[in-house]
Amino acid sequence: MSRQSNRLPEGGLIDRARSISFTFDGREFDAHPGDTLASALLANGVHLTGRSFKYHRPRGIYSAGPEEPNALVTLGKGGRTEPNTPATMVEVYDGLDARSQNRWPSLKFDLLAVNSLLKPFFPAGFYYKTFMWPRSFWYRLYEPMIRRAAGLGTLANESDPDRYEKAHAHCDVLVVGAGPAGLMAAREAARAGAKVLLADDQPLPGGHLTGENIDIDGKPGAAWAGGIADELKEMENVRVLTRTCLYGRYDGMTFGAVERVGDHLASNSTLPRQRSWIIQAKHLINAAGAIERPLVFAGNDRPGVMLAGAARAYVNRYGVLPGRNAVVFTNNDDAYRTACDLAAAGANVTLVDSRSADKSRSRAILPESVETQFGQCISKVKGRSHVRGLTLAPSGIEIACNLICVSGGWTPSIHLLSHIGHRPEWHEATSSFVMREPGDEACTAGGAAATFDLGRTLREGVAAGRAAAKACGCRVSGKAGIPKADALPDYAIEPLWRVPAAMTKAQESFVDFQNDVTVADLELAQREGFGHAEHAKRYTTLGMATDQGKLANVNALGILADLQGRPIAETGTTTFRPLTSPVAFGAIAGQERGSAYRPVRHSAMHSWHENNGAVFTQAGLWLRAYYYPREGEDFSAAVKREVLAVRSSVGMVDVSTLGKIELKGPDAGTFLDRLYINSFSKMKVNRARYGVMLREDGMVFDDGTVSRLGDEHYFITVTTANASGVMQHMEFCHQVHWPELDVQFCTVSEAWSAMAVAGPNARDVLASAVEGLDLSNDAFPFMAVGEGTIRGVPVWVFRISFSGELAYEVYTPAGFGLGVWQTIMEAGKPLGITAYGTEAMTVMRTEKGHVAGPELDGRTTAADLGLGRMMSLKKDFIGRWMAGRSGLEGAGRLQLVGLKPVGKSETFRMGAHLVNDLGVTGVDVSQGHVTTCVYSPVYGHYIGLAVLKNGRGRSGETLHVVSPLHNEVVEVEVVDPVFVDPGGEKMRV
Amino acid sequence: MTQFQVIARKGKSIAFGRKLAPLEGVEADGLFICASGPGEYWVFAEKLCACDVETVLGKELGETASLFDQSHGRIVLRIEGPCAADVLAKGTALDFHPTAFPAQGAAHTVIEHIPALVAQRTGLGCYDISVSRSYGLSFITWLTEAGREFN
Repeated sequence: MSRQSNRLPEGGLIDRARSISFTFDGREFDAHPGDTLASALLANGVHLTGRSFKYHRPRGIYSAGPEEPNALVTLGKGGRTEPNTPATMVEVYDGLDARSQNRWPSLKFDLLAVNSLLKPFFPAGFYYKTFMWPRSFWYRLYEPMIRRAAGLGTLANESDPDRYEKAHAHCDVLVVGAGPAGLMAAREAARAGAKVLLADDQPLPGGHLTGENIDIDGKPGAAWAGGIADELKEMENVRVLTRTCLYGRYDGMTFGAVERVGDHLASNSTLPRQRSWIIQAKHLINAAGAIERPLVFAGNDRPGVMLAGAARAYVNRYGVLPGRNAVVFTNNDDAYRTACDLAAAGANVTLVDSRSADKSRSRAILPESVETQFGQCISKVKGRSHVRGLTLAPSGIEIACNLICVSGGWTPSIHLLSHIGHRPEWHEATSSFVMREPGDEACTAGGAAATFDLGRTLREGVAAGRAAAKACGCRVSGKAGIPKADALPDYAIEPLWRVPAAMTKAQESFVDFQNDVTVADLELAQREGFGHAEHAKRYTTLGMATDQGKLANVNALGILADLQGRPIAETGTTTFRPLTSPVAFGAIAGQERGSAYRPVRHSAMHSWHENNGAVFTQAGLWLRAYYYPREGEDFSAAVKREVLAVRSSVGMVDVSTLGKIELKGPDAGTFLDRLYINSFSKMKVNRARYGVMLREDGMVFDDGTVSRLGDEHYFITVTTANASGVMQHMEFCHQVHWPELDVQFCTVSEAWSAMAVAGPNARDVLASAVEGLDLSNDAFPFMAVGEGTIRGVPVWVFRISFSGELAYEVYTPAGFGLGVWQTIMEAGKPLGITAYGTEAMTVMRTEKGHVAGPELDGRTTAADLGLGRMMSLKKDFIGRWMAGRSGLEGAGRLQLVGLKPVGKSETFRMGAHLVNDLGVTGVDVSQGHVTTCVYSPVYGHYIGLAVLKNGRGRSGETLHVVSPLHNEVVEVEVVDPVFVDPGGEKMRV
Repeated sequence: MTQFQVIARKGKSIAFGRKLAPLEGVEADGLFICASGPGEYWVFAEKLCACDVETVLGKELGETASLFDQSHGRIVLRIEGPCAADVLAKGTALDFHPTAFPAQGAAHTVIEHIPALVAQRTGLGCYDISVSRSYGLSFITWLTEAGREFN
C-alpha cells in the first residue's frame, strides 16, 4: 500500500478521517472519500495514467473536470467493464478498480510507442494517402492493424449486469451548472415561484468555487455554495440533480441528461447505475461555466503539465500538491492565483508570463517567493514520462521543475446554446467565443457568458434567474440580495494561440491531446487546402475525440486564423452537436433490454398454456402457444398429434389475440358495407359472415369475420397482426370519408377472451358445457351466432371454422377466459379434447386452403386469392375501382394455387420460386412463389400454397420449386388450394 | 373496476358534452368520468357493476351516446405516496406537477410503451392506472423495477 506522498497535511473538501483503498493497474493505493481517481493518483504521486491515441505517448492527468483528454481509464471487470472514463470524473470508493488503456505490455513500457518515432509517416490524413495498394489489403490488413494500434479502451463482450433507467422531468427554468451564477439564478427563479431544475455534473455544488480559495459572504466559497444548495433543496418547487451531465439540447426545449446515480457507490442493490433524463423546460439558464484553455508549446503533452485551474483545484479541493517545483505559464492574470495557492501550499513556484510586465495587473498578489519571468514562453520540456524541467525563450533560461501549470485563458461552455444550430460570436475583450440566444428561451450567466469576475457573475446569476422566472409568468418582487465576494484579479488576457515557431524547439506541440493532433498537422491541413475550420477538423480529426474539442477547438481556430493571416472572428467555428460528453449505451437503453426490451402481451389463458408445457411464439407483442409437446415429442410429432386430434375428434386453440372491434349506431351496417368487399347491412341478427377489406389501391388489406349482435350492433374480428392498423383505417374512414355516418366503434380486443373448439366432436363437447343455447345443426347452423352461459358465465358462441372442421368460437369476458377454457377442457376430456397451438392451426388452414398473413402480403387482390366473387357489384366500397384496374385484372396475375411434391417424401420452402424450365435462367423466369408450406398429417406429405401466374387454369401441371440460395430443386404438381373437404360438408354437419 | 368507454352519437356531441363535461373529475353517483378524446369519455365505477353503470349512464345520456363495456379489458393499479410521481416519471413523459396534473385530473399516456390511462381520482399523489389486461404482467414487472429505489 502506497503512502499519499503528495497529500497536504490539511485542507480540501475530503474526509480525512476515513481512508479507502483502490487499485490502479493492479497496484493498491490509499485515498479519502471525496477524492476523484485523478486526485487520489496525484496524492500518491502518480501522474502517468495513459498512452495517447495515435502515437502512444505517455500522458498524465491534465485537468480536474469532464474536459479531461488524457487520463482515460477503464473501470470494472467482466460485464461491468467501462472504458474511456475520465479519471477526473471518477469518485473513488473502497475497492475501486481502474486500469490504464491503449498500452502493451505495460503503461511504463509500451511497445507501440514506436508509433511516436514513426510520426513523420503518420501525418494528418495519412490514411487517405497511404495504405492504398493493393486494394484488397485495406479491409483485411491495413484497417484492422490501424484500429488495433490506435484507440482507446476495449469493451467487454459480456452483457452489462448493472441496471439503468430513464426518467422524465418538467420545469419552468432549467439551470445548468451549480456554480455561483447557477446557484444565484436557481434561487432567484425559485423564490419567484418558478419550478426550477438545477443540474450539475459534480457531486458538490459550487462549480469552480470548490477548487478555489475564495470567500463569499465571509464563508469559504464551497461552504457558501453548500448553504445555498441546502436552501434550494428545502424548496418544494426546486429539484437539484447532482452528478448529472446535460449532454444535449433538442428542439422544443427538450434536454437530455445523464445522472450517475450509483457509480460512486462501492455496492448498490437498489439504485440504478445511471439514469438518463429527458427534461422539458420553458427556459434555460446556461451557467455551465468555462473551461480553461491549454497553451500550445513544444512538449506540452508531457505528464506533469496540467491546467492552472486544475492545479489550484487539486490543492484547494482535494488537499493535493501535484508538484513541489512548479512553473505557471500563462497569458492572463487568472493563473496568478494558481501561483499564489501553490506557493501557499509550500511549492517553489516560478511564474512565466507570455505578456510583457506592463500588461500584468496582478503582480501585487504574488507572494515574494514566486519568481517571475515576463515576455517569456516555454520552448522545450525535459522529461519523457514525467516533466523534469523546461527551457524558456527567448531568454534560454532553464528551470528544473516537476509540474507545469498552463493557462491560455478560459473558454465559455456554450455547447447547449449551439446544439440547435445557433453560431457563436467572437468576443475580443476576453478572446473567446460567446453565444447570445436569438430568442428569449435561453440566457447565459457567469463564466459561460465570458464573465470572469465573481461579483459580476453573482449579479448576472441573479438577473438571469429573475428574468427567467418572469418569462415563465412568475411575479418577481423585492430587491435581490447579492452576496459579497472576494475581488479577483483582472483577467487581462493577451491571446497566445501557440508559442511562436521561432521559439519552439524540435518537439511536437499538441493542440488536441486526445486525438494526437499537433500544430504541424494543422499547418499541413492549411497547406493542402483544408484550412476551413470544418475541413481542418475532418482532415486532422481535431475536436473529434470523446472530449469533443473542449480544450482544443479555440486554440486550433486561432492557429488557423494566424496561418491564414486573418482575425479569428473570420475563421468561424465548427458545429457543436449533442452529445456534449460521452453517454453509456446502457443509460440510453434504460430498462429496455433483454426480456424488458418491449412489453409482452399475454392472453387470459396464458398460465394454462404454461402449465401444460406450451412452447410459445411471438406474434407482434403477443406470446401465443405454438405447440404443446408431450414427453418425447419434438415439434413435428406434437403438431402432427394436435392436427390429427382435431381432424378425428376435437381440439381447442386460444384465439384471444384476434383484433376485436365493436360497432354501434344506426349506420354501423352501412359503414361496414363501405369497408368490406361484401355486404353486411342486410345480414340477419345473430349471423356471422367472412369479410375481406381492401386498401384504397385495391389490394387485400385484412380479413376476418363480421357478426351482427343486434339491429345496430356489430362485432368484427381482424387479424392479430393488423388489429391496430384496421382500427386506424376505420377511424380515418369515419372521420374523413364518411363523417355523416352515425356509427360509434372502439377496440374491445382486450375485453374478450376467445377460443376455437374444432373437430367432429366439437358440438358434443360444447353442448355439455354451454347452457341456454341450442347448438343442434338446425337451431344453430353454420355461421350462426348466439348467447349462452358456461357455469353461469356469459359467452357468445360463433359457428365459424378456420380449420375446415365443425367448429365454434367461444367468446367470454376476459376475466372469465381462463375459467371458461378450463371448463370446456374438462367437458371435452371424455372425447380426448386436445389443446392445439398456432402451428397446428396453420397446418389446418393450409389444408383447407384458407389464406392468412403470407398470402395477404399487400400484393394480392381478392381475385388473385380466389375471393373475387365476394366483391359486391351492388355497392361502393374502399378499393373497388382500383381493384378493377387492367393491371390487377388481366392475364398474368399471380393466383392462389395448391402444391404437392411429386416425390411424396420431399419438402420445399416458403419464398422459393416456381419455374417450368430448369434450363432457362434469368430474372423473369419465375412463375410465382411458395407462400406457405406445411407437413399435412392428413396426407402424410408436405403441401403448400403458392401464387402462380394464371395459376387457376394450371391444375395438374408439373413445375419446379427452386431455391438457389439453398441449392434446392423440388418437382411439384399444381393442385386446387383446398386440400381437405373442398365441398365444405364437414363444417356444416 | 367497471370501466366504460362512452362515445357521442352523430350530431349529439354537444348535448352529450353538456351532460358529461360538468361531471368530469367529480365522483358522482359512484362514477368517475374523464375525457378521453373528442366526443369521448372514459367512466370508472369502483363499486357499481357493469349493468348498473349502463343503467345510470343510459338514463343520463339517453340517445346521445353509445356505451362500450371495457371492464374486462383493463386492469387498474393504484400507486400512492410521496414518491409515486417519481416512479411513474420513469415510464411516462406526463408532467405530474399539480399545476399540470391537478387532483381529479386524468390523462391518456404511454408508460414504458404500454398504453395507459392515469387518473387522480381520489386526490393528489394517488394514481389509478388503467392498462389493457394483456400488458398487466409487463406493467407490474416494470413498476416493481422502477419502484425499487423507493422500497
